[in-house]
Amino acid sequence: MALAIESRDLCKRFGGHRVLDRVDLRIPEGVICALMGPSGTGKSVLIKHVLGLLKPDSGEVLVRGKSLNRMTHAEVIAMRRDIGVMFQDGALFSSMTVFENVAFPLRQHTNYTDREVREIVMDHLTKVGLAHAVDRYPAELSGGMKKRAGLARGLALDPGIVLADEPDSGLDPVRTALLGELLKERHAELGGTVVVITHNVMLAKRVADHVSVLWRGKVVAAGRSEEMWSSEDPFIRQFLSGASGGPLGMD
Amino acid sequence: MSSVATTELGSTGEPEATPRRPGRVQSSLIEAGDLAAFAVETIAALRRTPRYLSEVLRQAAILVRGSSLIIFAMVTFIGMAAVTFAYFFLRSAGASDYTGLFTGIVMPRAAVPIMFGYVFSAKVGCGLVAEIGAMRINDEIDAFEVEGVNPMSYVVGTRLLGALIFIPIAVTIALLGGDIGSLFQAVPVLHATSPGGFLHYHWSSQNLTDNLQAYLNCGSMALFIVLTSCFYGYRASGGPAGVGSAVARSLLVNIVMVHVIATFWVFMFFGINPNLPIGG
Amino acid sequence: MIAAPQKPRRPVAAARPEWDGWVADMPAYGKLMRAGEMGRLALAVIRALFTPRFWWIPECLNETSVALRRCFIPALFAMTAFGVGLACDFFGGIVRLLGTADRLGGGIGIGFLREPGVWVAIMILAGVAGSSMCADLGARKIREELDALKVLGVEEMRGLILPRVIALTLVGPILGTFTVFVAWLSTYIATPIAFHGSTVTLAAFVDTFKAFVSPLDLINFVVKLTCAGFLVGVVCCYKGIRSSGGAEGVGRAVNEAVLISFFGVWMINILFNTLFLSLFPQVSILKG
Repeated sequence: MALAIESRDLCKRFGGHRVLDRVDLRIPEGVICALMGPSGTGKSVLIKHVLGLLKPDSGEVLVRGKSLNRMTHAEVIAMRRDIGVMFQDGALFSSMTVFENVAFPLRQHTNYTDREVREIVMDHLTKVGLAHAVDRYPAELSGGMKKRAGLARGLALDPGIVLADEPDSGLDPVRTALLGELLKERHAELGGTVVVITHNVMLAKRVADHVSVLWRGKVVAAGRSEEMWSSEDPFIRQFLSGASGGPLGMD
Repeated sequence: MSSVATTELGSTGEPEATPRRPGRVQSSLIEAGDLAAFAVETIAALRRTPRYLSEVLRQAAILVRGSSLIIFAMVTFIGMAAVTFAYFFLRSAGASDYTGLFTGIVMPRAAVPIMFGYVFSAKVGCGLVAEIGAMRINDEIDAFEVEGVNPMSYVVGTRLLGALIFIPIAVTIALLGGDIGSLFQAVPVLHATSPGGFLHYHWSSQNLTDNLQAYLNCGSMALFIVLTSCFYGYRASGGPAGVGSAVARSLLVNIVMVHVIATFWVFMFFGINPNLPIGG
Repeated sequence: MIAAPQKPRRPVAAARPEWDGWVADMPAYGKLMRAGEMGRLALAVIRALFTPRFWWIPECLNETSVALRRCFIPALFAMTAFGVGLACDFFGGIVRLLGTADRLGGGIGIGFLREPGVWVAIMILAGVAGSSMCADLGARKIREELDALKVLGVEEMRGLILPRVIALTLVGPILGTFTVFVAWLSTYIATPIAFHGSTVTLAAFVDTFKAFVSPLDLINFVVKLTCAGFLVGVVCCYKGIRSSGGAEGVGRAVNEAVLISFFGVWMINILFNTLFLSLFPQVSILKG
């Protein structure tokens, strides 16, 4: 099976703290993958490596079989064009309205006319339920709206790989479920690979075909979701059921 | 992908070797080096900035609208301060008619550039650090990079070019503010001399070189401040608290450098022989 | 689909009196209100200062030493550069032009005491000590540490604000004295070099210096810097504990605090000097 994203022996440290410790991540093409792990285990750092925003101390990251270490800057830019990212808090450009935010990647990378841009943007914003807020600035949006606008921007170029960093944090359970449905619908419609970074087991259960668990800077478990949910491994069982007894502690 | 792959838990690898923290002097030097590298990177990135012309103009407009008035107001203060000192000092020598001579020499050569630097670092510099720092903390900088836009060009470059447009306007405003402030303090407030006498000495004691020096002096200060502020904003980290301390740090560097740059230009133009334009 | 439009969160203003419907909408109103709140904070600080519970003093001394250590090196650099450049270049030039080069020492003595020494001191005070204090308080506010302190029963005024304001009030004159000394010293060293071969000698420099600098000038200097320090302290504490609004909030608070402090200390400088020199004209009578 072809791999969309792969990391080999990826290590990264900040100061004396080892954030990623020989991570071997394998995310197959064409699935919705949940990248799970407790807070502070380097999930966000990992996707910054995938995007080439951080350089690994050692090891390498491969996107569709090509190593980022061996790419030129132009190739990295081209690679990123095919990755849609939804940042943790949306990361909307604060000097632009919601509409301009979503239109920004289209204007940068395509030659659509203004009318076509408008159509595409409105289409995406309607899908995430923000059609009424197109002319607002990010400062006037609530946290959930920022996330949805960020998702719309990430999807604007119809990327083959979508990375969603904690799409559920700060959202209520119903909205989280609706967001999950949205990702699923889009995946059924357009295919591609979706990586959802979360520690919400409910969301992972609802959307994921494939689960990787990150713990203390390592991928400790990975596999198809039904295998993971029925796994006998004590760690995986404890983590996925949120139980207090087991190998995991507060440390 | 058939079976669940599991790695053993709790293996921390080799023991952590904590790198030695650099001392204060050393880390200041590293910071200065980083700043220089950032400046070079910015200049390299300027190549791609002209395509964001509308953003450049927007930044220039923000500066013109937001900072002109405060620069004008603060420079009038220093004009008033210069007159207050000159009048009372010269009166003791029975030469209070020459108040205009003092302001004419001191305002464009030192007082206006110094005050311009203070205001620019407080208003424009701190504002840039706060803005860019917040962009960094909110992942906006990363988002630009992901969208394939170099933030060095789009965020830093446009602000630098915007400042370049603003500098001539700002220095003109500052020089005018200095003249008006000193005239105000000399004539209606202190009755130091007659307005005609004040202006006669004020204008005859400065020449084109003095004012050219003021433009160069203020311009180089402003460019330095914009670069430093973008640098500290760009590398802000550690949440909202980090933005605050980045602002404070940038201000420290800027305030000190304002004095150094002002003195540098004074020595470059006039040396230690003041080369005053009227004979004495 | 995700629906349910949410209203954007806007800051909710405090309860307003009824009469100010349109007044409150004017942009200047908010500024005036904040100025009033700063004044109220200043009064509260003064009242707390003289109310006999003095457990804040150790904290205040600690803050003073922190602020001083932050300021000394920048003040040293800034003042040396400025002192040599401005004094020798212009002032020397002007007194020579007027044929009073022998008065250089006196001119520099009172000159730095009245203007440039004060400028550098207040700018470093507001720009280095004040801004980092504001950033620190703002960070604590954002991390909800201030609320936690309140819950733990620590009084905000004596626990946080009073020691900091008083610390900056103390730092003002101390730092000012330091910058003026640096300025005098650097000009004393630079004068023989800059005026090599002219009639200006070090002996004359020292003589006129002694004749010019009067106790009244020193008192003016200390009072002015104390007031400036107090103002910077109040503004920076106020802006720090009122900062809000995420990542940009603290940065903006520091920015505004610095701008208001700069403006305020310059007002104080101008008012003090004009008043002082008009009220005590004898300080500028020649004795040399």
